[in-house]
Amino acid sequence: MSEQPWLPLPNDDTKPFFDGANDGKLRLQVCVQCGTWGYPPTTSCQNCGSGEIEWRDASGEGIVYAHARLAREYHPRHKGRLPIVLAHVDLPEGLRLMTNLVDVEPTAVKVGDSVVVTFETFPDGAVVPVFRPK
Amino acid sequence: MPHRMSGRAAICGLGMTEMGRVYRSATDLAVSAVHLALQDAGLEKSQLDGLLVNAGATGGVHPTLHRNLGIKELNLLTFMQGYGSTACQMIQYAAMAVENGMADYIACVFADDPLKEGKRSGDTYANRPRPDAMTALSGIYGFTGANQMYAMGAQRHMDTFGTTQDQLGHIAISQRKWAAMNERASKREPLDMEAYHASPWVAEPFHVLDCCLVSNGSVCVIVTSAERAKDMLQPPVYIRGFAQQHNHDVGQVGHDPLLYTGGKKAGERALQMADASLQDITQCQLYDCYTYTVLVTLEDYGFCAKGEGGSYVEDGRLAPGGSMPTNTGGGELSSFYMWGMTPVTEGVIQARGQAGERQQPNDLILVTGNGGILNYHSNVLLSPQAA
Repeated sequence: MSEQPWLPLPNDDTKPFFDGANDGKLRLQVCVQCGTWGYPPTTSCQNCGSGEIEWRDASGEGIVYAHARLAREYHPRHKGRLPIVLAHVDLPEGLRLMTNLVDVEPTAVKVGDSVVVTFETFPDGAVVPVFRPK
Repeated sequence: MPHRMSGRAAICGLGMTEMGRVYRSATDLAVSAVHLALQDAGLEKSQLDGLLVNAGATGGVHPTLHRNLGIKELNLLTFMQGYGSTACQMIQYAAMAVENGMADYIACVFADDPLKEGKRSGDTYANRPRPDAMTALSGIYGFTGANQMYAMGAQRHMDTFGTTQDQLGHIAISQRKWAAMNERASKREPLDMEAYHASPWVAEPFHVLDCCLVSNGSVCVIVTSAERAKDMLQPPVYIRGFAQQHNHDVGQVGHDPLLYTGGKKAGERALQMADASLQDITQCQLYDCYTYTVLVTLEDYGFCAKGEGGSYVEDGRLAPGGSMPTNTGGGELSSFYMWGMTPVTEGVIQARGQAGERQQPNDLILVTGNGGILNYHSNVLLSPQAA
């Protein structure tokens, strides 16, 4: 157990994302008016400006848009795990998500790889989504 | 026909403080840069009637700089922030203001003081406080700053077009050769491919040597009308064309901002203003926060086709003796990092013909600025000739 929690408590705007991860779901925001998905959490739709936003579980699938390999430790989670695979993953819902890829040889990752969501539990008990090869 | 703005304004003064580990506050450095620019231009402080201010990473300089300068009255004053694109933007707005009679002499100032005694150079750019769970999460994933994002851009270019690590290395090596001829450059020792590959990883595919320096310092340029600039101390540096194009990644699939920047449209419009073509450009001073930024900018302006930037840079084309001299002061990679002012300073020095042994043909100089994660883009075309 780490002494300090890695993640501060989510606020009302971001809590559903982390609750979703606890349930094993990639839970994200979608605009009720125009159907545009959004991330990070917001109170107005980036496409149409509507304030009618709801949380919905995404398919959990994705395609690697971009990736790189973290070579320096910035956080206790990085210790002994470098290189960590940084990635932007394009979801079929139309959203591009910032994440990590796990269970993969870092230098084997390519743009266009198919990936699927999985979940990592932190020492403080927080659960967050990451992606692995499909 | 050139646009009516082309060649109507000019840079008449340049002030540069010492750069690098100069442990003075950003405001203090900015005051020095303005005085150096006034002296360079042969102007009295009382003649300065416009002030545009841009702060770097520390936010250490403000519109109140006019108070620090002891200037009681100004016709024009504001703070601007377009990140790395601000320097060229300040020159653009100043050119339009002098042409339209709002002010006669406008100082455009950038200052930054990220280096603190006893701290590592990257500390200001990383480990910022993360107030809520969502932003904390991005840091825990490892997205702590620009290095990782630009590294993803470079890797996407490699995966998509077959660009190689050596090709990125050629950009760093070419610029270091220029830096060797610039006494203001922080990194002047020779660099070869072996040393480039031996440089530690920051975020693969970036070595430390793919990333810009971190510098304290300040730069001021003074913009005035072409008429006034003609009879001043320094040779006039005419502003022949300029544009901006901002291209933000809004997190939606289908947009490809890591491979296609605002440089394409901004380049077309600036050349149109100058009534010039790409073939008229004799040297480039490109924003180079990373090696990859140079590569993608060259492609977007059309110096080579999209995807061919790697082969374009690998034969020494950008280096001394090459056919497209680029970042001839060493750039942000090897000289100093004053955000968009780094390429501006070298553009002004080259346009004046004052670059000594590194002087290159200066008929038309492309200067670019880039900010965010390839999100913000601006440029100016500089020349010793008004038309």
